[in-house]
Amino acid sequence: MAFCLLWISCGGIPRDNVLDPENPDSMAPHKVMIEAFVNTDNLSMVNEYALLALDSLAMLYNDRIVIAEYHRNTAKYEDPYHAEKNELLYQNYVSQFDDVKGVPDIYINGTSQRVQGASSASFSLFRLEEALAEEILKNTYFVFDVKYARQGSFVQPDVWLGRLGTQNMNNILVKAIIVSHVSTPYLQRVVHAVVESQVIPYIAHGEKLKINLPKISINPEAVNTMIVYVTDANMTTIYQCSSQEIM
Amino acid sequence: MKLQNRDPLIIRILMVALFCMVILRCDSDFFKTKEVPVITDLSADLYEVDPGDTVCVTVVVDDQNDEALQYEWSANGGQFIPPMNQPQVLWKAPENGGNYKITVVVSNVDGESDPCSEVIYVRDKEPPEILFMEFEAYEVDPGDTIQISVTLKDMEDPTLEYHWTADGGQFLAPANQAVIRWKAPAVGGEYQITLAVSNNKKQSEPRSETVVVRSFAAPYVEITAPEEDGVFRQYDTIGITAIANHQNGIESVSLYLNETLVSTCNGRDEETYSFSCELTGPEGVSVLRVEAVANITGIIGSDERNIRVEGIILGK
Repeated sequence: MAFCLLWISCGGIPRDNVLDPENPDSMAPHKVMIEAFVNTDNLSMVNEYALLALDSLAMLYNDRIVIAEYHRNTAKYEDPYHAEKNELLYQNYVSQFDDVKGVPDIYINGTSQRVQGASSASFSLFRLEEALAEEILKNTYFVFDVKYARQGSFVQPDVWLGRLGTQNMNNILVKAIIVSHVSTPYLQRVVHAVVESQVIPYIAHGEKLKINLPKISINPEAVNTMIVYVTDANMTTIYQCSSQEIM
Repeated sequence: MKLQNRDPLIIRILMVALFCMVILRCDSDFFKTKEVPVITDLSADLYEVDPGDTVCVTVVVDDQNDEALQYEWSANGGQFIPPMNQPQVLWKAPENGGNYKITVVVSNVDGESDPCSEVIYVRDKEPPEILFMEFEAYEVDPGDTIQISVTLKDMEDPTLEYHWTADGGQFLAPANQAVIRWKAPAVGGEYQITLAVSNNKKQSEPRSETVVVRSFAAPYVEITAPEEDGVFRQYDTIGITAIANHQNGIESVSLYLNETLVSTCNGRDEETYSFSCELTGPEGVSVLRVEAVANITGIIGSDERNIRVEGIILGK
């Protein structure tokens, strides 16, 4: 909201607000996007360790981070929350590293950092914080203004994306994700649905764009949160993200 | 008539001459011719000898007189062994090799013969030749004393000098002899005992033997990779490198993961050993242990590293 107000009321005043897209020195703190590929196979407790660590991380970093838990099938396990779209994203991410696929496998800001495997909740937290240390200090040249309109078991995202700084940007896309806190205590951010924009070929610095996203389903039996993030067209780097609970 | 007057004088002269002839005839030497000795042969029993060898040289003389002969022997090296004033002498070859001329002149009262010579070749002196060395033991404990002896091709040469050296331990006096005693050092390892023998001319090729001094210390083992508390993904294959050494050498080096033998390799001269290990164990802390076995004593040394294995469930 403050972002909109700034946009509306900046004519004739000094453009020195760092969140003002028309301020050439503008930038914004980079909210860190954490995407955890997990499943509910609890034969070994490695997924549970990772999820517990993410819970601790969420408490430690509050609104400076956004977490989504993508569930995927593994070699001998069919996960009830598996989604084909999750799998495509995972294959895309893992191809940036080596060919070892398995859960838990946690990516930070796309493929900027990766933490795979777990041996205890505390050590997973340690590794995540280590990986997060650099990312949490980053600034970004994107800002979001996100609203939504609830339509039964769907929401219609209303997303504006502003480009800060002095550089234009090509070929980006925006994704919206609904994550649900399902009944199991440690499944707090299970990805329920994902939609994405068309590739945005160009955004100039100082420009704000209305992002067209389709409506997206929510889990009516759970607490839902909508996450929006902007990424490159190859979906390997996340530039900025935002989240808000669906009421 | 005049001739007749002169007759008594001529007769008297002739008679005096006749008398002189009778007198002179009575002294036989007067009519002797002078006879100097003539050397008809000069020979040696050996013409090619080693330094210090003795050669018998004989001269044969044709002498018409009954007078005693004098023999004058000379040579441009070596020594004659007295007595020398005789037709057969002993000549001792010098230490330096080469051709030596032995000359003899024989004389009697009438004079001396022409000199006569023979050449004897003296071979260069050979260096001592070590046939073998014998050690009381080749594997000893620190501080042990062992006897070492050497056998040479020629043990009789009085000029022999024994030069014993070792890269550790000490020789107990006297050490300049064919049989010596060596005291092992306090530190285990391989020690080389070397001997070179010289005569007054040359030195033998050095001969060395190795004595192992047992070390009862444990082998030194250090895992150089991975680091303590290194983090790895389950099912990954990781590289482990370790340094292992011991004074008696390493017999074998083994890698254990959580007390399970992963692989073993034989010891070698290089100190660095490399292994690979697939982390198939459970997630959590795993213990890598590298164990080295010392040669001879079989004493074991080891080093450990705790690593953290981050478990995963393998995906499709």
